[in-house]
Amino acid sequence: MWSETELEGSDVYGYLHKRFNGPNVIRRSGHRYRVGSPGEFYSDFDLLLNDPYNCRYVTAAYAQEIEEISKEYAIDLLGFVEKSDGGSVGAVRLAGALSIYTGIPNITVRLGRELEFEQVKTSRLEGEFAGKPQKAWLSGALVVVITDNTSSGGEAEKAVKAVEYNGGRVKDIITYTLREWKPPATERFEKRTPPIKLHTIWNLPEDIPERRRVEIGISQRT
Amino acid sequence: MEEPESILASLQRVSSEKFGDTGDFLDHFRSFVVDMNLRVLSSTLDERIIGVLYLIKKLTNDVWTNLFTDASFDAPVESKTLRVFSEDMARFVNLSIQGDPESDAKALQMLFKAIMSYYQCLSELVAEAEQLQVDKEV
Repeated sequence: MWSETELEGSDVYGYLHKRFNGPNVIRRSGHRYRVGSPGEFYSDFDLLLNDPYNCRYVTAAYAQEIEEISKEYAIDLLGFVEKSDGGSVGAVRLAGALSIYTGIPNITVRLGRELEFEQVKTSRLEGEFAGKPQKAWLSGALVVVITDNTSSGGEAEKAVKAVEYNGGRVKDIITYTLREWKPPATERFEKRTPPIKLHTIWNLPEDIPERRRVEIGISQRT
Repeated sequence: MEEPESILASLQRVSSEKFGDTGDFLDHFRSFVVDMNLRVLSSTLDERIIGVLYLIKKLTNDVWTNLFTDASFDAPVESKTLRVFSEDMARFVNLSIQGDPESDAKALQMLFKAIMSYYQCLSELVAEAEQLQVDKEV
């Protein structure tokens, strides 16, 4: 754990970049992607957030991205992605903190739910509609999708579709880490109509210091 | 920890009951398996019973999450399709624990039927939500 005193004078990105040098954040892994290619390593967002100071700085980094987007339009909702396999809660753990920090309401996008209209969790209409199966009635709300890690962008795109199915719109996605991918996930979203901008705080593996890559035994970049 | 004989007897009893309404199967089986530690039980129960308990646990948890505890709508307890699901799941369990090849073949058939009923039930709910959207917009 880092004490608050140690953080004084640190800038958000400088502090967070140090965390990539710390243990248990970037970890070697034997997992494979859906397409079959080896993952080799992964960024453990859950372990990063166990530390309150990491939480604060991660929240601040997302908030800076949100602030930039807010200069272009008024964001109605922050949509935190709970991933399909249920194994990773992704950015959901940050939802309350980031909502308080920005003053923007938050919703959860639950990709593991079987029913499309249940993938966006909000309060439903009451009165004559109470208790009935119904869409989330986002009524054109502008939602910024927030996730922890993006590789191909497939999961983030599912989140966008879930928001759209429930009547919302997405112009921006923020991911904490973006993995190198062919074609890059950014292109996938640029090609959408209308295009979506994918914001990233860290690019992997390029933002992992070489010394750390040697320590955990992952490939060197050519 | 429950004895293997007790678990088998409970499975036989619960899967033989007549289910008057949809929620019964889920209530009975979920409360039966939800807190079971199958890893611990795997040292005393045979592979057939562990397999059946695992499938009940995963399936009922999935149905529960999607249709009951974490759903934004009232659980579809009146749904005929969900009732078919429940009955077929009970038959699957009842046949599975008998342990002869003929029952195994029938059990697998019941499991497939039950899962199909579950998805049919979900599709009915999506159709209902879509219709409500149309009605609202009109």
